[in-house]
Amino acid sequence: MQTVTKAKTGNRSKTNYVVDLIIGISFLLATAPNATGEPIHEWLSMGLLVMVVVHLLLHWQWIVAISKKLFGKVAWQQRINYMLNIGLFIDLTIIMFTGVMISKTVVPLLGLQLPSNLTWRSLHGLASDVGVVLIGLHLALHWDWIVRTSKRYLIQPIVKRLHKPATQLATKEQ
Amino acid sequence: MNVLGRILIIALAAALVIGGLLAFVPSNAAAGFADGRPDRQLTLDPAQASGTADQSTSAARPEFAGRERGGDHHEGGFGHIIRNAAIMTIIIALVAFGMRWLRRRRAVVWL
Repeated sequence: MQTVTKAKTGNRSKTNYVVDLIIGISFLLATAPNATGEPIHEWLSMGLLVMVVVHLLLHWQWIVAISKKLFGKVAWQQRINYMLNIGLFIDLTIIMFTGVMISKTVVPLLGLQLPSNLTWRSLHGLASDVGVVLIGLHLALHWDWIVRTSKRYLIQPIVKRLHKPATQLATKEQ
Repeated sequence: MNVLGRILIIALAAALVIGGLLAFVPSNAAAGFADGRPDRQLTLDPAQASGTADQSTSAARPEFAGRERGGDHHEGGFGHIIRNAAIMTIIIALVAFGMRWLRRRRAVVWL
């Protein structure tokens, strides 16, 4: 029973790690539309939106638990984390919404014509710059988990794979 | 609560933010800005080209050619990714390791 629970936790942790890695890389790529090109920037951001929703769903129990006892007995680090996450949610919503309002690929593809508004463009840039700082803080607050999980799911498998042929060779020679 | 209900709550929270944003940003603000901005002069007058014209009062800004005024965050290519990654790294270094240092020193109890 305990092994099953451990395996479930491990799988969940791996899923969280993969989702977070995709979000992190996608966000960094999405902040440079000139490098990727406008269409890739927009489609990547749409994918990012889906991944952020998945990220929220994966952490739903934590959101509910902290929301219930935010003003009660809860560790200050959790409270700061919660407030930061609310800020991040607002910021990402602004980025996505203003991005849709100035879209040149995705929205026209749906046959929609939105009124041109330069305020959305400057707001999109400002919110994305704020997003870089907020995501940096979000990563910093979870840095211990990131390091631990990276070792477990990224570094250790690579090291194992690199050492495997050498071990096999040594066994054959014997 | 099933997944659909959770997605609905996320959508409602996002709608709340968007509603606030729409209330905060006047719909005609950008149109006013676009109407009021001076026409672009993308070619130089002979006097400007020869350097005899006073450039400080000139409307010619060749560096803006083909671009919208008012700042464009779409500037920069892969350099932008490196810049953002560097900002994130600095924040992580300051906050994560700063917190670890404070914890070790027991300077802040709740950390």
